[in-house]
Amino acid sequence: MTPTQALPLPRTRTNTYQELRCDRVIILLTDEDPLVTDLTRSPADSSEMTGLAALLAPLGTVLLSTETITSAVELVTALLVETIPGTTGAGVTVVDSLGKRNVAASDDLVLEADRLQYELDEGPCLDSWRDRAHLQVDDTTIEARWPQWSRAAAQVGVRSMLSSPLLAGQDCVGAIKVYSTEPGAFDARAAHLLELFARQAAVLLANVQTLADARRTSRQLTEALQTRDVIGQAKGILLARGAADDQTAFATLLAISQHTNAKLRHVARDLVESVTTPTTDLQA
Amino acid sequence: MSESRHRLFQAARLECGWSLEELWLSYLGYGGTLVVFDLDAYLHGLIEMPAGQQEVLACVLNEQLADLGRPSRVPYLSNLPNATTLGNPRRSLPD
Repeated sequence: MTPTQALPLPRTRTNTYQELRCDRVIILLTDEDPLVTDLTRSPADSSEMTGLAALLAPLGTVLLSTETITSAVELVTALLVETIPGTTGAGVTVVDSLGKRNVAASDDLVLEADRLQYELDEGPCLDSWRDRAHLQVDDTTIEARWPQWSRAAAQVGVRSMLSSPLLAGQDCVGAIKVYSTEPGAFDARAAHLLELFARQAAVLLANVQTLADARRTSRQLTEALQTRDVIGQAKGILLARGAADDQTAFATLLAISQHTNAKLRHVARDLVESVTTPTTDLQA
Repeated sequence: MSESRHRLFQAARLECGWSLEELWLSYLGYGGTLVVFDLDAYLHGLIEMPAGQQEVLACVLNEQLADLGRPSRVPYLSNLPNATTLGNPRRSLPD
């Protein structure tokens, strides 16, 4: 299965990545997923649904070639505009485990409509995220559920919209939305498509977040092990010079650290350097 | 003292704004040997921690508290070794 139209996909760089991409597509499209159910249950619609599957497939491939959560939300936004009929603009908001908000939007209109929601603290996207609900606004000039936001959105030109939560397992990682400058631009099919799209996008974005977390942990772990290595060497030097045991060697480093008001790892580094590169910095 | 000492560590961890994993990573880097699961158990008073390991844990917390400009410290268990008792090891280090 290959995408039927040109999409703003990051190019993969190696053959290995290419093979992994294929695996990933297969995994996503053979999952117990409403998309697959739809594909098998609606033969009349099959060509259209195959086209949809082709559009959604890149969501499954991007994990391995996307560097950051930012480029992932931008990709999802671009795909949204392609996928949901009647869309003027689209936006994606992802909230990470630290509460930081990553926002991507296809145009300024979407950014403005989004900003208004956070400023007024009301609106369909916020409720979509909070209540984990798929929400639809057919006409902002008569919408009564979010009176302040609707009035402001209508003034900037947003007339109708759809919003879906990004649910990955038990977690809601954010919300996606599409806007139109026309009232009643989205029918039931568009709403259904957005629901399907949100399912796929949530899997992607949750995975990218996990990957980002793993990379951060990996970097911190590497730093910790480097420090540990130096402290281990310093303790070894002290043992060779007569310290009774590991605990005593550490206590010695600690004593010097407190006495000199230097971090223990710096005391250890200085000690190791004094041995490996003989200098006159330290009194022999 | 050892029965309530874990509370000091837990309080210091919170003051540092560190998650359990962040504390464990720093502790690991300073030579800590407990796995994160056991560190968690110690912080909740469920298991004991060897004295030497407590010193390592206190050290990383105290350095972080100092970096944050906080006045509080976790007291060290043992009296710090006098420079003369170890003689040889300290000889080549600055006073």
